[in-house]
Amino acid sequence: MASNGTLIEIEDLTKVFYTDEVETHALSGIHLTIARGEYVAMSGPSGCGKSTLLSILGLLDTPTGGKYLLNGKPVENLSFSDRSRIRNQEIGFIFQSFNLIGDLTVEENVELPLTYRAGMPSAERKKRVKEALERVNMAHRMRHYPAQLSGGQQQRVAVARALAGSPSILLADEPTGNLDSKNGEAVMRLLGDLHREGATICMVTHDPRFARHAERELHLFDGKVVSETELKKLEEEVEA
Amino acid sequence: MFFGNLLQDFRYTLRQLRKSPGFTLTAVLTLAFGIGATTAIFSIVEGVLLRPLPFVEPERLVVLGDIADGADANGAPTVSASQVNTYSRDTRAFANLGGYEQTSFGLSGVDEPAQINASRLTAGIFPTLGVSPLMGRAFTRQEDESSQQVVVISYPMWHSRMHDDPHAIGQKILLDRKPYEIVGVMPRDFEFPLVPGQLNRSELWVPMSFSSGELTEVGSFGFNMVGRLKPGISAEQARQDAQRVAQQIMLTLPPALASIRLHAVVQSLGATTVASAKRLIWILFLAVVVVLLMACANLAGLLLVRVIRSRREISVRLALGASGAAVLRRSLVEALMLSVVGGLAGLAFALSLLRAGVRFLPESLPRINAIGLDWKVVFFTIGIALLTGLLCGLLPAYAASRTSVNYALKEGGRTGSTGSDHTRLRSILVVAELAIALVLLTASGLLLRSFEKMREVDMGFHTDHTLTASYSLPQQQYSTQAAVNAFSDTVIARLEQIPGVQAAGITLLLPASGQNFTNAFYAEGYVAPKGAPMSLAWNPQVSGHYFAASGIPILRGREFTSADTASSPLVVIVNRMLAEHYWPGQDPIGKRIHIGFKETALPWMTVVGEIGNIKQGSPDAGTVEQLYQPVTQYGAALGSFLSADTLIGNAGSLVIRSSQPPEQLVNSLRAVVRSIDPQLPLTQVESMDSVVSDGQASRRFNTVIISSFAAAAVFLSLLGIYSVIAFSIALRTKEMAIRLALGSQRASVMRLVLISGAKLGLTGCGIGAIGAVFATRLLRSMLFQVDPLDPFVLVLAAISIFLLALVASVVPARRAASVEPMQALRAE
Repeated sequence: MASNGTLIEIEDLTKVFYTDEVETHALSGIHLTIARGEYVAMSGPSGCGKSTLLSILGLLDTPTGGKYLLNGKPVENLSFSDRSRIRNQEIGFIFQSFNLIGDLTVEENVELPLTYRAGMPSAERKKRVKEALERVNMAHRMRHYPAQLSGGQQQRVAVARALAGSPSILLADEPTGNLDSKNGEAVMRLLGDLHREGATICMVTHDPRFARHAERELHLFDGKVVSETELKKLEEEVEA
Repeated sequence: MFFGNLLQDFRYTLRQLRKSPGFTLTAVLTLAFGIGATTAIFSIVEGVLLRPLPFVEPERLVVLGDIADGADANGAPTVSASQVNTYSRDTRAFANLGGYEQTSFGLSGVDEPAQINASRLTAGIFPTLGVSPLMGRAFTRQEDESSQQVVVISYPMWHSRMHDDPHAIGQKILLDRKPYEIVGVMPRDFEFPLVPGQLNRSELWVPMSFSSGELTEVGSFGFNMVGRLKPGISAEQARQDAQRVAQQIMLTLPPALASIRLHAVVQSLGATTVASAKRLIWILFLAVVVVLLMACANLAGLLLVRVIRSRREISVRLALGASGAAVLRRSLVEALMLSVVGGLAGLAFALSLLRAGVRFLPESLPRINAIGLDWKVVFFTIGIALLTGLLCGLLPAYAASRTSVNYALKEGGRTGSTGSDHTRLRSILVVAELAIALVLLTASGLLLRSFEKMREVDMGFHTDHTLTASYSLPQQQYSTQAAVNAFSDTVIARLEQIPGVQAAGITLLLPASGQNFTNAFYAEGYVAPKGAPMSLAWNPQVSGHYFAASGIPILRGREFTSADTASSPLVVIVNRMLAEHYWPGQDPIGKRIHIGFKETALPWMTVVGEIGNIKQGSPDAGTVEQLYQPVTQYGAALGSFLSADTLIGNAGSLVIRSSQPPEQLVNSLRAVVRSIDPQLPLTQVESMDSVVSDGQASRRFNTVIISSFAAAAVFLSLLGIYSVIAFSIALRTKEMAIRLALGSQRASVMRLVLISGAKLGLTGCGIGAIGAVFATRLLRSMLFQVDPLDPFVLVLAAISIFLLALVASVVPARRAASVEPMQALRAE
């Protein structure tokens, strides 16, 4: 899929965690650009900073330093409420553990982000929910509760929830991590389909089989983006 | 949009609450209890203290009377019969003014014969109060002055004794066997005078129609007055006006009363009515609000647990774009829904409490009939329910809005915290609860100790095996002193013939009953220090073998005998307090006193006996100087001060001492009275123990109700400490499993948990003890022979709270110690 403009542009991004007197550099000097319609996979060993980077991309967290432009607008220093608003309108999340709300039906779960969007009429919400669920083939389970679904079905509902708001980008954090291989493949196929239909996707995964579904793979190691060759070399050094 | 989301929050919350019925029920019941108790007590506050008196423009109504120089300044201001007329005629500050006196009548001619409470009113009273009868009319000045036998009856009397008879007006009823024509029926909520309790309310009102004897009697100040201030006139201006008239009155006093200095007193009728109960009611309200706050703290704790459990859900919402306000709103909606349902249940609870509890309210409480659930109370309940919801919901809502949005991306087992921040918040709540519980428990302990001290008080007489009954002889039948004396002599003689009866007597004032009648007196040779109060003594007139019947030991001298007649030398018996005051270190026998003041020319009476200090009121009330006279000599002792038509001993209380239990003597007593006068009703037929117990009722009520609140507070705080420890243990299951896996003994784990409970308990007790030191000062006026800082009570309460906190920690401690390490670790 060809890109048609830059969606995300990150320059010299750093994230430092301070715990007591210990300073941990989770991310250092990250430069990253994601084009509209691109499908990017982020991989790397545990603790390399994948989830931290995804949190910052998804405006769940703020960087310690550097620049972050989303749709050409700087978002690294926004207030909590502004980040909430942008997150709601521009970003769709798919979590490893689905994070569906057990007390809400499938329909209500998918509708949830739309209810936080000011001014959207109920009819419009219902229409979008139906479309999103049809898109993931879960419309027939609208009245069900998450506990009544299999893991794969729950993740499809979670994808529908992420799609319902027509976000600029889908951020998926180990979307197959809690699924068996068959359901995992099905979800990856779904993401592939969405990408082909124009969705921008950024996925964190540690599984190389799933990373290969993406157009581009970013490797992270000790908080830095490295090439595949560098990654192998670094891993060999650690093992040695 | 906002309302749509709000509706969705309601729907979702309702579903969640339905899914956790245990939590919902606990929360609703806790709030129902707190809000219900608060509503019930508020209805007392509203009915007694806040609701305007049921009269037109009640803020203009005042009590007018005199306090004599040296008399008890806290006593009710009263006036004589002639002063009622003088003040009514000569003051200018009042639009209306009238006098009244409480009395009682033997009622017959309607329903069952009974002795009923009533009031004599001058015609000025009804216009002063501004209340028109429901049916008929009030009596007129002309009817009052011409002694017409007309009566205005109360609504309860019309309802219960006349069965709502629409033709009641014009009918005649017999009062003390004299026919009175009913001219009016007052409205349902009309009550006058506004006396404390339920037993002394007037059922009817008759014209005052002063007798010539009353108008000429000097030195008798048994009447009360109530007036309506003219528009724009303040109470102080009215007092100055009344003082001007009081100066005139003093000029007209006979030489025998020349030393009396009268001070006119004008007080708000509303404030005077509730003055005695105000402090108790506000303390009750404060106590119940504290219990409600504890219920709030408990519910806040429970809601906080729910927030902790739903952190992942909240973080997902935040990740999906929910604003902090949306999360805050949803959390508040849950608390508000619970509090509104709890408030409704509380309203029902309050209604049942009031229905069942009003009759248990003490007789010292005024305006009891104004207590009930009206719209003001309902609005209060709604308000308190919403406020409670906000109070309960704010902390959990704040905690919810502070949930880390990143939590959604993390696996609970891997990175989830143990919720230590929230546990700390809950711990603060529990410490506050324990501290409050300690304050209330200390208050309860102080009141219980006061009650215990009161029960230990020596009443000065033996209360056992004594039966008492009151009567009032109708003037129609007993119009002469001879007839009255004949009744008294006969009844005593016949009572003493009953097998088992050891002694019988009659007294004007029953000990321990709170009945009051005092007279000024002068002790021969006594020179009062400058500024000393007037010499006043509680002054019962007795007959028969009263002292023996009442179990009052004679310490010196002798009891009255049948030889003490009107024509024999006048004698008195005094109590030790009076003897020690006027003849310190001397034998009072043979000393002389007379009624009135030094300059009053009344005959001397010789002290022939000395008794101990008899409690004339409740055991915790102070004892006053007492002066007993034989009823046969009272007229002679007062000489010209008593009007010729005054009958002595026509009302009083019979006292019978028997070897049998007093209850077994009731039928014999009634039979004796019936044999003398078949129509004479006896009232308040009860044992002397019961009379004493009645006097303890007010303190018993205070003690029981504060102790109930304390018990509720202790229960709530224990529930709080249990839940906070249990929950923190649930969060630390893995930690406990690891400790056990690493070789810790189960006892060590248990100790660890108990130490957590002990720390909370100690902190709560420390803060509570400081709070108690300040809060119990409020109780000072309600304590008896107990210091507000009684170390025994304070230490006992603190130890109790601490031990109970430990006990509440035992169950979670045992649960923590019984964790199976492998199972818990595998579950993670």
